[in-house]
Amino acid sequence: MRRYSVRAAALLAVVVLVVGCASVTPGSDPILVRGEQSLSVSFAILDSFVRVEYNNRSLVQAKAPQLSALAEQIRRNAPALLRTATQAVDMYRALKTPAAQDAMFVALSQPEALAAQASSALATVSKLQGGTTP
Amino acid sequence: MTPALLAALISLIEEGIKTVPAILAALHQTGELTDADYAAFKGRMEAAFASPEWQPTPGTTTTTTTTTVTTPEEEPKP
Repeated sequence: MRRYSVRAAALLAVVVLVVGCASVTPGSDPILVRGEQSLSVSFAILDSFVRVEYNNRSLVQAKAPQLSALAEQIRRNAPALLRTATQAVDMYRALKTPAAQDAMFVALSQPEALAAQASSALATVSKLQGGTTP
Repeated sequence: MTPALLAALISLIEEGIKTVPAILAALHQTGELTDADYAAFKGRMEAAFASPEWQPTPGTTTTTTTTTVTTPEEEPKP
């Protein structure tokens, strides 16, 4: 499991570097652009994870039940977290204040953390071979 | 490799193919989303939440953590 955590951390580092180095169109608010990117990427990863688990539920439950448990956790928690993050992004879009910025990044941190778990878990799906449980 | 595992890997690849463009689009985003694009994103998200794949399995429980977003009382930046 630690191996996957290291991989996930490396992947996140690459993403942060790519995002951090990307230029922002003059006139755009880089804070808002980063917030929207975080929201989009977190949702894409979480959506992908629950769909893969749903489409392979019997296999995943047999070989790696912890992945089904994580998918269930995501189904129950992620919609509220993503809606809260979306509201925070909405608020920052409207106000553009430091307080709204702080609130946005706090709200985004929770779906980001779930997405990091899901991205690590997605890697384990590809390791499901024979009777091996990751 | 069992047929079930092969199906799982194909599913993983298919979902990856669908996910990668969304992630790449987000990473290549250099400007703020237009109101229309942002509304479209929110629409896609809500549609996904309503899909069968996102419905929790009945009878299971998970702790829910939420964050309350409060309205900051500062003035907007000029």
